[in-house]
Amino acid sequence: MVVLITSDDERIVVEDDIAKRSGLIRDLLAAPWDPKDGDREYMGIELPIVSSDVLKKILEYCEHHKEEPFDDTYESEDMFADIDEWDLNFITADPHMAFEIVLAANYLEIPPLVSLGSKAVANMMRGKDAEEICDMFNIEKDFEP
Amino acid sequence: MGNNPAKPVIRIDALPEDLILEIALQLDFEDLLAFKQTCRIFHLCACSDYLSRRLALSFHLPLDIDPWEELSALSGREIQRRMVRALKLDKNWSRGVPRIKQFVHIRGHVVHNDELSIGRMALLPGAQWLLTVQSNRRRGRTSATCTFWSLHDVRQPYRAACLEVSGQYMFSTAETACGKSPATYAVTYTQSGEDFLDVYNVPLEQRWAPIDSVTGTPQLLLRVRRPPDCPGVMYKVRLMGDFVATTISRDGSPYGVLVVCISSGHRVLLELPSIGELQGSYIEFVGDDLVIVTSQFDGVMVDKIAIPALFACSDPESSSCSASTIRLKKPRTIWAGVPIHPDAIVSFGASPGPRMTGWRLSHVNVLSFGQSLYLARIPPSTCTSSNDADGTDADSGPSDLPRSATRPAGLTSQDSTALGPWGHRAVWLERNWEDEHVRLMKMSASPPDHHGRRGTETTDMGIKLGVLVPPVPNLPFRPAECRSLAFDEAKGRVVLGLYSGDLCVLDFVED
Repeated sequence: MVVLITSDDERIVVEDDIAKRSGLIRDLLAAPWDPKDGDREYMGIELPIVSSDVLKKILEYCEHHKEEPFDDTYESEDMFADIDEWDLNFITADPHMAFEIVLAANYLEIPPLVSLGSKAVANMMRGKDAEEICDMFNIEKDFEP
Repeated sequence: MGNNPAKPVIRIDALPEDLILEIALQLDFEDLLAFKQTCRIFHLCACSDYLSRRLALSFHLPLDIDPWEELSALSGREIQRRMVRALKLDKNWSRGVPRIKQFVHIRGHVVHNDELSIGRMALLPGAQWLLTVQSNRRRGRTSATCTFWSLHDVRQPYRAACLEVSGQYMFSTAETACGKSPATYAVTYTQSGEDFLDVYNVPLEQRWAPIDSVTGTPQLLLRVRRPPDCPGVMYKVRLMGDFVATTISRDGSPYGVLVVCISSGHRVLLELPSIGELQGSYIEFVGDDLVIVTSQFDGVMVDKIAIPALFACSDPESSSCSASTIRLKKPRTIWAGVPIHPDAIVSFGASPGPRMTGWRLSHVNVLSFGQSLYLARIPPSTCTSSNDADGTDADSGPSDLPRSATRPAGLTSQDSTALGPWGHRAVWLERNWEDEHVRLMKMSASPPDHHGRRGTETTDMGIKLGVLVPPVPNLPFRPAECRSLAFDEAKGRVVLGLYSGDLCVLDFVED
């Protein structure tokens, strides 16, 4: 088991196999550990830019995909063409969450989830003009073409 | 700014650069235009060369990229400028009556032709050079005047070279290296009962060339007399670098393609398989391949042969290979569900290869008029490649393909049809036999699979017909005076050749 500590100081206990979907956590767990530094499980892994609600969503995704081989060379394909239904529901349930998921997945190094989230975010922009995109994503329009 | 103070607001423009790129890669070009107007960071990302090239590869409209241009050598800004132009052209062309954005009337300064009318025309790739052919009969001798026009500055067009072909003109084609002088010109003709194929090197002048000019005389590179063992007529001709190919028909039925290496003079006759009555044959070089389309009355066959490989294996010194005849295996018949008229129009689409360099066949388009207008797009996966030894699919059954039909109005006949290589746009002259009016017509077909969303393969290509020039336009000519036309689909340029010898250039998008 591994303990993940979120930005809002929540300690979430996760099975190794699930946590290791993340390239970042996989690397941290592979690093040698000196017992003098304390109990590894107790010390946990701090994820200072991931909040607990986002992490829980991401772990839900990792749990669902835990049987699959790691795929670090995920090639982004056409829009939603080859996305399975579970993934589609997962990422489109909450548009704003999708955006936070893609950011956290990028930090945690989960390439298929980055790709899935990017598609969802891009899909939100479809058919919108510049003003609407700025509103939706809280962008300060600093640019006049 | 944040509307939820309890939670820190993540701003999308604070994302790492690679993530912004990942998101931008999922957008198509129209959405990207909005995206890049939001903020500086997005603008920078959306203008990147990498993103622009990726977008160009999946762009759904004909993109004005010349065959000698490599996508990887164009800047992102330049690619996007052309994509914007393509969107504007598409918008205009899809209208019921597209607006003419520029009209130029070129007076035909013909000196001693008995027949002035422009019988044939072709725009060279890039639509900057125009080739016109006028047939003459002087003192009982027939000949043809072939003229190269520069349309680089369409308001200042000039004749860059002239060439006289004595004999009965059949067909000709020209090619330039990277759009610059000199041009290579290939022509088939009949003289005193013999068939010839000539290839010339034609220097193109930088200014108006007088018709009797002796400067920059075209230089004959190759003259091929039709081999006595292949009777028939040499007709359509195509050029690619050091190779020239011509179709050979006997009694109106095509039976072979003669390919000649210009520098060595070495020839290969590709004999079409004898399967029933063939009606038409169409050839085009795409990349290193020669693509041959043959039609029967209810189906088409597409064959692809890598030409340099064909000549590499046949050493002119070895008698076993020289002057070789290669019997093509029977290609798979693709049932198009289209009545293929002998005068059907076939165009060959090409797209940059996956590494963004080099060109490969993307599809073959067939346009045919009958009771209706029929359009079919044949994907390259259904082509036969005669380079593969003993292909297994040679006898597989006919396959269906995306096609579309629409009914033209009234009792009409069509002439001078030109179909773009992408198969999205076509123009033709249409005579209505009820009111005797002649119109210049256009077709627009929607691109396959817009937005890249995969779904059921639709046979509806969204064909829209419209009038480019009405019978009595507010222009200094009438479509009834047109004898020939040339069309560049990606540039949005139509050139009309009149009976008077004049030329009219119509552009449907501004630069």
